[in-house]
Amino acid sequence: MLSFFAIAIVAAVSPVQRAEQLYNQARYDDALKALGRSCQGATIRESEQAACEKVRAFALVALGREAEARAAFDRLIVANPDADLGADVSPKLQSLFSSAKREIAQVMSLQLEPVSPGVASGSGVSAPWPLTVRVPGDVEVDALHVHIATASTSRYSEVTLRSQDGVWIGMYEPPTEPSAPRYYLVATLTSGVNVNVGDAATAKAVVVSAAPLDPIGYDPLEPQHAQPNALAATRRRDDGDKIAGLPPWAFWTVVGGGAAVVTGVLIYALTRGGGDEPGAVRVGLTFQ
Amino acid sequence: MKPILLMLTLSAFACGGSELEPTRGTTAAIHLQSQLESSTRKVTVRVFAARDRQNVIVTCTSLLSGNVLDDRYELLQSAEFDYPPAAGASFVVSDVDAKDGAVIYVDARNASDQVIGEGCEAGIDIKGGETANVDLVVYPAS
Repeated sequence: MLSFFAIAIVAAVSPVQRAEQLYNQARYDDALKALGRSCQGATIRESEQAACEKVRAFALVALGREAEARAAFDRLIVANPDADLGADVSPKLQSLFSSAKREIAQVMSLQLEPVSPGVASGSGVSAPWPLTVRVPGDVEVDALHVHIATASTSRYSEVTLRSQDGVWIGMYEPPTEPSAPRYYLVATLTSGVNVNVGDAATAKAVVVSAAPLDPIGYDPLEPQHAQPNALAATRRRDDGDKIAGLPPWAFWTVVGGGAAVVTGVLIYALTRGGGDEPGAVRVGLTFQ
Repeated sequence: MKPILLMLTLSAFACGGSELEPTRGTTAAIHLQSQLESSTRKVTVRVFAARDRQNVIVTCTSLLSGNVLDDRYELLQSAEFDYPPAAGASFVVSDVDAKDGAVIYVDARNASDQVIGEGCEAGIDIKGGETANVDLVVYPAS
Protein backbone atom coordinates (compact mmCIF):
# COMPACT_ATOMS: atom_id res chain seq x y z
CA MET A 1 0.00 0.00 0.00
CA LEU A 2 2.84 2.35 0.97
CA SER A 3 4.75 1.63 -2.24
CA PHE A 4 1.60 2.35 -4.25
CA PHE A 5 1.43 5.86 -2.72
CA ALA A 6 5.13 6.37 -3.32
CA ILE A 7 4.69 5.49 -6.99
CA ALA A 8 1.67 7.77 -7.21
CA ILE A 9 3.62 10.70 -5.71
CA VAL A 10 6.57 10.15 -8.07
CA ALA A 11 4.18 10.00 -11.03
CA ALA A 12 2.57 13.28 -9.97
CA VAL A 13 5.88 15.14 -10.21
CA SER A 14 6.30 16.65 -13.66
CA PRO A 15 9.61 16.56 -15.54
CA VAL A 16 10.09 20.26 -14.86
CA GLN A 17 9.50 19.87 -11.13
CA ARG A 18 11.86 16.89 -11.14
CA ALA A 19 14.49 18.97 -12.95
CA GLU A 20 14.10 21.77 -10.41
CA GLN A 21 14.71 19.29 -7.60
CA LEU A 22 17.78 17.91 -9.33
CA TYR A 23 19.07 21.44 -10.01
CA ASN A 24 18.67 22.30 -6.33
CA GLN A 25 20.72 19.18 -5.53
CA ALA A 26 23.43 20.46 -7.93
CA ARG A 27 22.77 17.48 -10.24
CA TYR A 28 22.82 19.66 -13.35
CA ASP A 29 23.32 16.93 -15.96
CA ASP A 30 20.47 14.94 -14.46
CA ALA A 31 18.29 18.05 -14.46
CA LEU A 32 18.89 18.45 -18.20
CA LYS A 33 18.11 14.79 -18.78
CA ALA A 34 14.83 15.18 -16.88
CA LEU A 35 13.83 18.04 -19.18
CA GLY A 36 14.52 16.08 -22.35
CA ARG A 37 15.77 17.57 -25.60
CA SER A 38 13.18 20.29 -25.95
CA CYS A 39 10.82 22.28 -23.75
CA GLN A 40 8.32 22.20 -26.60
CA GLY A 41 8.24 18.41 -26.54
CA ALA A 42 5.25 16.25 -25.72
CA THR A 43 6.47 15.50 -22.20
CA ILE A 44 6.39 19.16 -21.12
CA ARG A 45 3.06 20.77 -20.33
CA GLU A 46 2.43 24.03 -22.13
CA SER A 47 1.99 25.82 -18.80
CA GLU A 48 5.46 24.66 -17.74
CA GLN A 49 7.39 25.55 -20.89
CA ALA A 50 8.66 28.84 -19.45
CA ALA A 51 9.80 27.16 -16.24
CA CYS A 52 11.41 24.45 -18.35
CA GLU A 53 13.50 26.95 -20.32
CA LYS A 54 14.45 28.73 -17.11
CA VAL A 55 15.68 25.56 -15.36
CA ARG A 56 17.42 24.48 -18.55
CA ALA A 57 19.26 27.82 -18.74
CA PHE A 58 20.21 27.68 -15.06
CA ALA A 59 21.60 24.15 -15.39
CA LEU A 60 23.48 25.00 -18.57
CA VAL A 61 25.10 28.05 -16.97
CA ALA A 62 26.11 25.89 -14.02
CA LEU A 63 27.79 23.52 -16.49
CA GLY A 64 29.54 26.41 -18.26
CA ARG A 65 27.49 25.99 -21.46
CA GLU A 66 26.57 29.64 -21.75
CA ALA A 67 25.79 29.75 -25.45
CA GLU A 68 23.13 27.06 -24.98
CA ALA A 69 21.89 28.83 -21.85
CA ARG A 70 21.53 32.03 -23.85
CA ALA A 71 19.46 30.15 -26.42
CA ALA A 72 17.18 28.88 -23.63
CA PHE A 73 16.77 32.43 -22.31
CA ASP A 74 16.08 33.64 -25.85
CA ARG A 75 13.30 31.07 -26.27
CA LEU A 76 11.92 31.97 -22.84
CA ILE A 77 11.82 35.71 -23.59
CA VAL A 78 10.44 35.34 -27.10
CA ALA A 79 7.56 33.25 -25.74
CA ASN A 80 7.16 35.39 -22.59
CA PRO A 81 8.36 38.96 -23.16
CA ASP A 82 7.58 39.86 -19.54
CA ALA A 83 9.58 36.94 -18.12
CA ASP A 84 11.58 37.71 -15.00
CA LEU A 85 14.12 35.69 -13.05
CA GLY A 86 13.31 37.22 -9.68
CA ALA A 87 15.81 38.65 -7.24
CA ASP A 88 17.38 35.48 -5.90
CA VAL A 89 19.56 34.54 -8.84
CA SER A 90 23.27 34.96 -9.30
CA PRO A 91 24.66 38.07 -11.00
CA LYS A 92 25.97 35.85 -13.79
CA LEU A 93 22.51 34.50 -14.58
CA GLN A 94 20.98 37.94 -14.21
CA SER A 95 23.55 39.43 -16.58
CA LEU A 96 23.02 36.76 -19.23
CA PHE A 97 19.25 37.10 -18.95
CA SER A 98 19.32 40.91 -19.06
CA SER A 99 21.56 40.82 -22.09
CA ALA A 100 19.16 38.47 -23.89
CA LYS A 101 16.17 40.59 -22.94
CA ARG A 102 17.78 43.82 -24.06
CA GLU A 103 18.82 42.37 -27.42
CA ILE A 104 15.40 40.88 -28.10
CA ALA A 105 13.75 44.20 -27.21
CA GLN A 106 15.98 45.89 -29.77
CA VAL A 107 15.17 43.25 -32.36
CA MET A 108 11.46 43.72 -31.64
CA SER A 109 11.81 47.40 -32.50
CA LEU A 110 13.34 46.77 -35.92
CA GLN A 111 11.39 48.17 -38.80
CA LEU A 112 11.52 48.53 -42.53
CA GLU A 113 12.92 51.83 -43.75
CA PRO A 114 10.74 53.87 -46.10
CA VAL A 115 10.94 52.35 -49.58
CA SER A 116 12.06 54.32 -52.63
CA PRO A 117 11.08 52.19 -55.65
CA GLY A 118 13.67 51.73 -58.36
CA VAL A 119 13.06 52.18 -62.07
CA ALA A 120 10.72 49.76 -63.85
CA SER A 121 12.49 47.69 -66.49
CA GLY A 122 9.53 47.62 -68.91
CA SER A 123 5.88 48.39 -69.40
CA GLY A 124 3.46 46.43 -67.24
CA VAL A 125 6.22 45.65 -64.75
CA SER A 126 6.39 47.38 -61.38
CA ALA A 127 9.62 48.97 -60.26
CA PRO A 128 11.61 46.83 -57.81
CA TRP A 129 11.54 47.86 -54.17
CA PRO A 130 14.84 47.93 -52.29
CA LEU A 131 14.04 46.88 -48.72
CA THR A 132 16.26 48.15 -45.94
CA VAL A 133 16.35 47.38 -42.22
CA ARG A 134 18.90 49.08 -40.00
CA VAL A 135 20.12 46.89 -37.14
CA PRO A 136 21.83 48.68 -34.21
CA GLY A 137 25.54 47.96 -33.89
CA ASP A 138 25.20 46.15 -30.57
CA VAL A 139 22.62 43.70 -31.91
CA GLU A 140 23.64 40.57 -33.78
CA VAL A 141 21.27 38.64 -35.97
CA ASP A 142 22.13 35.70 -38.18
CA ALA A 143 19.34 36.17 -40.69
CA LEU A 144 16.59 38.63 -41.43
CA HIS A 145 13.52 38.07 -43.58
CA VAL A 146 10.82 40.48 -44.63
CA HIS A 147 7.36 39.04 -45.22
CA ILE A 148 5.55 41.47 -47.46
CA ALA A 149 2.14 41.54 -49.12
CA THR A 150 -0.10 44.05 -50.86
CA ALA A 151 -3.83 44.64 -50.75
CA SER A 152 -4.34 42.50 -53.84
CA THR A 153 -3.20 39.35 -52.08
CA SER A 154 -3.28 37.79 -48.65
CA ARG A 155 -0.19 35.75 -49.46
CA TYR A 156 3.04 37.10 -48.07
CA SER A 157 6.23 36.95 -50.10
CA GLU A 158 9.39 36.26 -48.15
CA VAL A 159 12.40 38.41 -49.00
CA THR A 160 15.76 37.41 -47.56
CA LEU A 161 17.90 40.37 -46.59
CA ARG A 162 21.69 40.45 -46.66
CA SER A 163 23.87 42.43 -44.27
CA GLN A 164 26.08 45.29 -45.31
CA ASP A 165 27.72 46.73 -42.21
CA GLY A 166 24.63 46.71 -40.05
CA VAL A 167 22.28 47.62 -42.89
CA TRP A 168 20.24 44.69 -44.14
CA ILE A 169 19.19 45.00 -47.76
CA GLY A 170 17.01 42.95 -50.08
CA MET A 171 14.92 43.40 -53.17
CA TYR A 172 11.19 42.89 -53.56
CA GLU A 173 9.44 42.76 -56.89
CA PRO A 174 5.90 43.89 -56.21
CA PRO A 175 2.90 42.94 -58.32
CA THR A 176 1.60 45.41 -60.87
CA GLU A 177 0.20 48.53 -59.24
CA PRO A 178 0.82 47.50 -55.64
CA SER A 179 -1.40 49.13 -53.05
CA ALA A 180 -1.53 49.16 -49.25
CA PRO A 181 1.66 47.14 -48.84
CA ARG A 182 2.23 45.67 -45.39
CA TYR A 183 4.99 43.63 -43.80
CA TYR A 184 6.39 41.90 -40.78
CA LEU A 185 9.92 40.74 -40.01
CA VAL A 186 11.44 37.50 -38.83
CA ALA A 187 14.91 37.79 -37.33
CA THR A 188 17.07 34.80 -36.48
CA LEU A 189 19.25 35.45 -33.46
CA THR A 190 22.79 34.11 -33.23
CA SER A 191 21.41 31.48 -30.85
CA GLY A 192 19.27 30.20 -33.73
CA VAL A 193 16.03 31.38 -32.14
CA ASN A 194 13.58 33.13 -34.44
CA VAL A 195 12.00 36.39 -33.33
CA ASN A 196 8.82 37.42 -35.11
CA VAL A 197 8.55 41.19 -35.28
CA GLY A 198 4.82 41.26 -35.94
CA ASP A 199 2.85 38.69 -37.90
CA ALA A 200 0.28 38.55 -40.68
CA ALA A 201 -2.43 39.78 -38.32
CA THR A 202 -0.43 42.73 -36.98
CA ALA A 203 1.57 43.59 -40.10
CA LYS A 204 2.77 47.18 -40.41
CA ALA A 205 2.28 49.41 -43.42
CA VAL A 206 5.21 49.82 -45.78
CA VAL A 207 6.04 53.49 -46.28
CA VAL A 208 6.64 54.04 -49.99
CA SER A 209 8.09 57.36 -51.08
CA ALA A 210 6.80 58.86 -54.32
CA ALA A 211 10.14 59.90 -55.79
CA PRO A 212 12.33 57.05 -57.08
CA LEU A 213 15.44 58.63 -55.64
CA ASP A 214 18.39 56.85 -54.10
CA PRO A 215 16.84 53.43 -54.66
CA ILE A 216 19.46 51.41 -52.80
CA GLY A 217 20.52 53.90 -50.18
CA TYR A 218 23.56 54.48 -52.31
CA ASP A 219 26.06 56.86 -50.81
CA PRO A 220 29.11 57.27 -53.07
CA LEU A 221 31.11 58.73 -50.18
CA GLU A 222 30.91 55.43 -48.32
CA PRO A 223 33.55 53.10 -49.72
CA GLN A 224 31.61 49.89 -49.16
CA HIS A 225 28.86 51.18 -51.40
CA ALA A 226 31.27 52.06 -54.15
CA GLN A 227 32.18 48.40 -54.59
CA PRO A 228 29.98 46.56 -57.04
CA ASN A 229 30.25 43.39 -54.95
CA ALA A 230 28.53 45.13 -52.09
CA LEU A 231 25.55 45.67 -54.30
CA ALA A 232 25.28 42.00 -55.14
CA ALA A 233 22.93 41.56 -52.21
CA THR A 234 20.30 43.50 -54.08
CA ARG A 235 20.41 41.43 -57.25
CA ARG A 236 17.16 40.38 -58.77
CA ARG A 237 16.52 36.71 -59.25
CA ASP A 238 16.46 36.68 -63.07
CA ASP A 239 19.87 37.28 -64.57
CA GLY A 240 18.48 38.38 -67.91
CA ASP A 241 19.26 42.04 -68.39
CA LYS A 242 22.15 42.79 -66.06
CA ILE A 243 25.22 44.93 -66.60
CA ALA A 244 28.33 43.82 -64.71
CA GLY A 245 26.15 41.60 -62.56
CA LEU A 246 23.85 44.45 -61.58
CA PRO A 247 20.38 45.49 -62.70
CA PRO A 248 20.68 48.35 -65.21
CA TRP A 249 19.27 50.96 -62.85
CA ALA A 250 21.75 50.03 -60.12
CA PHE A 251 24.68 49.96 -62.53
CA TRP A 252 23.87 53.37 -63.98
CA THR A 253 23.21 54.77 -60.53
CA VAL A 254 26.72 53.70 -59.48
CA VAL A 255 28.29 55.03 -62.69
CA GLY A 256 26.32 58.29 -62.66
CA GLY A 257 26.79 58.82 -58.94
CA GLY A 258 30.53 58.17 -59.17
CA ALA A 259 30.92 60.56 -62.10
CA ALA A 260 28.91 63.24 -60.31
CA VAL A 261 31.03 62.92 -57.18
CA VAL A 262 34.33 63.07 -59.08
CA THR A 263 33.13 66.12 -61.03
CA GLY A 264 31.86 67.80 -57.88
CA VAL A 265 35.07 67.17 -55.97
CA LEU A 266 37.17 68.50 -58.87
CA ILE A 267 35.06 71.65 -59.21
CA TYR A 268 35.10 72.24 -55.47
CA ALA A 269 38.86 71.69 -55.22
CA LEU A 270 39.56 74.03 -58.14
CA THR A 271 37.27 76.79 -56.88
CA ARG A 272 38.45 76.54 -53.29
CA GLY A 273 42.12 75.96 -54.09
CA GLY A 274 41.89 72.48 -52.63
CA GLY A 275 40.99 73.85 -49.20
CA ASP A 276 38.38 72.15 -47.05
CA GLU A 277 38.80 74.19 -43.95
CA PRO A 278 36.71 73.17 -40.95
CA GLY A 279 34.98 75.62 -38.67
CA ALA A 280 34.45 75.70 -34.93
CA VAL A 281 31.67 76.32 -32.45
CA ARG A 282 32.04 78.22 -29.17
CA VAL A 283 29.31 77.26 -26.73
CA GLY A 284 28.45 79.39 -23.74
CA LEU A 285 26.20 77.80 -21.12
CA THR A 286 23.61 79.18 -18.75
CA PHE A 287 21.97 76.81 -16.31
CA GLN A 288 18.23 77.12 -15.69
CA MET B 1 23.63 114.46 22.42
CA LYS B 2 22.36 111.00 23.29
CA PRO B 3 18.96 111.40 21.52
CA ILE B 4 20.81 112.40 18.32
CA LEU B 5 23.02 109.30 18.49
CA LEU B 6 19.97 107.09 19.04
CA MET B 7 18.22 108.56 16.00
CA LEU B 8 21.27 108.07 13.83
CA THR B 9 21.53 104.45 14.95
CA LEU B 10 17.84 103.79 14.22
CA SER B 11 18.20 105.42 10.78
CA ALA B 12 21.15 103.20 10.00
CA PHE B 13 19.10 100.09 10.91
CA ALA B 14 16.20 101.32 8.82
CA CYS B 15 18.40 101.88 5.75
CA GLY B 16 20.07 98.48 6.19
CA GLY B 17 16.71 96.76 6.45
CA SER B 18 15.45 98.23 3.19
CA GLU B 19 18.52 96.92 1.35
CA LEU B 20 18.14 93.37 2.64
CA GLU B 21 14.98 92.56 0.66
CA PRO B 22 16.42 92.51 -2.88
CA THR B 23 19.55 90.76 -1.62
CA ARG B 24 17.49 87.85 -0.30
CA GLY B 25 15.67 87.57 -3.65
CA THR B 26 18.90 87.35 -5.59
CA THR B 27 20.32 84.75 -3.24
CA ALA B 28 17.29 82.51 -3.75
CA ALA B 29 17.58 82.66 -7.54
CA ILE B 30 21.24 81.78 -7.46
CA HIS B 31 20.52 78.84 -5.18
CA LEU B 32 17.98 77.32 -7.64
CA GLN B 33 20.33 77.81 -10.57
CA SER B 34 23.23 76.26 -8.76
CA GLN B 35 21.40 72.98 -8.02
CA LEU B 36 21.86 71.91 -11.63
CA GLU B 37 25.09 73.73 -12.24
CA SER B 38 26.82 72.66 -9.06
CA SER B 39 26.03 68.98 -9.75
CA THR B 40 27.43 69.16 -13.28
CA ARG B 41 30.79 67.48 -13.71
CA LYS B 42 30.94 66.83 -17.44
CA VAL B 43 29.47 68.53 -20.45
CA THR B 44 29.22 66.93 -23.87
CA VAL B 45 28.66 69.11 -26.91
CA ARG B 46 27.39 67.45 -30.09
CA VAL B 47 27.12 69.21 -33.42
CA PHE B 48 24.64 67.67 -35.86
CA ALA B 49 23.99 68.42 -39.52
CA ALA B 50 20.65 70.08 -40.26
CA ARG B 51 19.38 66.94 -41.98
CA ASP B 52 19.97 63.32 -41.08
CA ARG B 53 21.22 60.60 -43.39
CA GLN B 54 17.69 60.06 -44.69
CA ASN B 55 17.34 63.75 -45.46
CA VAL B 56 14.93 64.28 -42.59
CA ILE B 57 15.21 67.67 -40.85
CA VAL B 58 16.86 67.40 -37.42
CA THR B 59 15.15 69.49 -34.75
CA CYS B 60 15.88 70.18 -31.12
CA THR B 61 12.59 68.48 -30.28
CA SER B 62 13.67 65.26 -31.96
CA LEU B 63 17.03 65.33 -30.18
CA LEU B 64 15.67 66.21 -26.76
CA SER B 65 12.89 63.66 -26.89
CA GLY B 66 14.72 60.93 -28.79
CA ASN B 67 18.06 59.17 -28.89
CA VAL B 68 20.92 61.50 -29.79
CA LEU B 69 23.08 58.43 -30.44
CA ASP B 70 20.84 57.24 -33.27
CA ASP B 71 23.27 56.64 -36.11
CA ARG B 72 20.87 58.15 -38.62
CA TYR B 73 21.86 61.57 -37.33
CA GLU B 74 24.92 63.00 -39.04
CA LEU B 75 27.22 63.92 -36.20
CA LEU B 76 29.63 66.57 -37.45
CA GLN B 77 31.67 66.70 -34.28
CA SER B 78 31.40 66.06 -30.56
CA ALA B 79 33.55 66.86 -27.57
CA GLU B 80 33.42 66.25 -23.85
CA PHE B 81 34.55 68.81 -21.31
CA ASP B 82 35.04 68.92 -17.56
CA TYR B 83 32.75 71.31 -15.74
CA PRO B 84 33.34 73.92 -14.56
CA PRO B 85 35.74 74.78 -17.37
CA ALA B 86 39.38 75.25 -16.42
CA ALA B 87 39.51 78.65 -18.05
CA GLY B 88 36.84 80.99 -19.35
CA ALA B 89 33.15 80.29 -19.32
CA SER B 90 32.66 78.67 -22.71
CA PHE B 91 33.65 75.54 -24.60
CA VAL B 92 35.10 75.43 -28.08
CA VAL B 93 34.46 72.48 -30.36
CA SER B 94 36.89 72.60 -33.25
CA ASP B 95 37.27 70.68 -36.52
CA VAL B 96 33.60 70.93 -37.35
CA ASP B 97 32.68 70.48 -40.99
CA ALA B 98 31.38 73.74 -42.41
CA LYS B 99 27.58 73.45 -42.66
CA ASP B 100 24.65 75.77 -42.53
CA GLY B 101 21.81 75.25 -40.11
CA ALA B 102 23.69 72.92 -37.76
CA VAL B 103 22.05 71.79 -34.53
CA ILE B 104 24.03 72.07 -31.29
CA TYR B 105 23.03 69.72 -28.50
CA VAL B 106 24.57 69.78 -25.03
CA ASP B 107 24.10 67.39 -22.16
CA ALA B 108 25.29 67.94 -18.59
CA ARG B 109 26.18 64.95 -16.45
CA ASN B 110 26.76 64.53 -12.75
CA ALA B 111 29.47 62.61 -10.92
CA SER B 112 27.55 59.36 -11.54
CA ASP B 113 27.61 60.08 -15.27
CA GLN B 114 23.85 60.53 -15.37
CA VAL B 115 22.43 63.12 -17.72
CA ILE B 116 20.93 65.80 -15.47
CA GLY B 117 20.56 68.64 -17.94
CA GLU B 118 20.10 69.24 -21.65
CA GLY B 119 20.18 72.21 -23.98
CA CYS B 120 19.86 72.64 -27.71
CA GLU B 121 20.00 75.29 -30.39
CA ALA B 122 19.24 74.83 -34.09
CA GLY B 123 20.02 76.87 -37.18
CA ILE B 124 23.70 77.56 -36.49
CA ASP B 125 25.76 78.36 -39.59
CA ILE B 126 29.28 77.02 -39.37
CA LYS B 127 31.72 78.61 -41.81
CA GLY B 128 35.16 77.25 -42.70
CA GLY B 129 37.90 78.94 -40.69
CA GLU B 130 35.42 80.77 -38.46
CA THR B 131 34.05 80.18 -34.98
CA ALA B 132 30.29 80.32 -34.53
CA ASN B 133 29.11 81.53 -31.13
CA VAL B 134 26.17 79.84 -29.47
CA ASP B 135 24.65 80.63 -26.08
CA LEU B 136 22.65 77.73 -24.69
CA VAL B 137 20.37 77.40 -21.70
CA VAL B 138 20.74 74.03 -19.99
CA TYR B 139 17.47 72.83 -18.51
CA PRO B 140 17.04 69.98 -16.03
CA ALA B 141 16.63 66.70 -17.91
CA SER B 142 13.20 65.19 -17.50
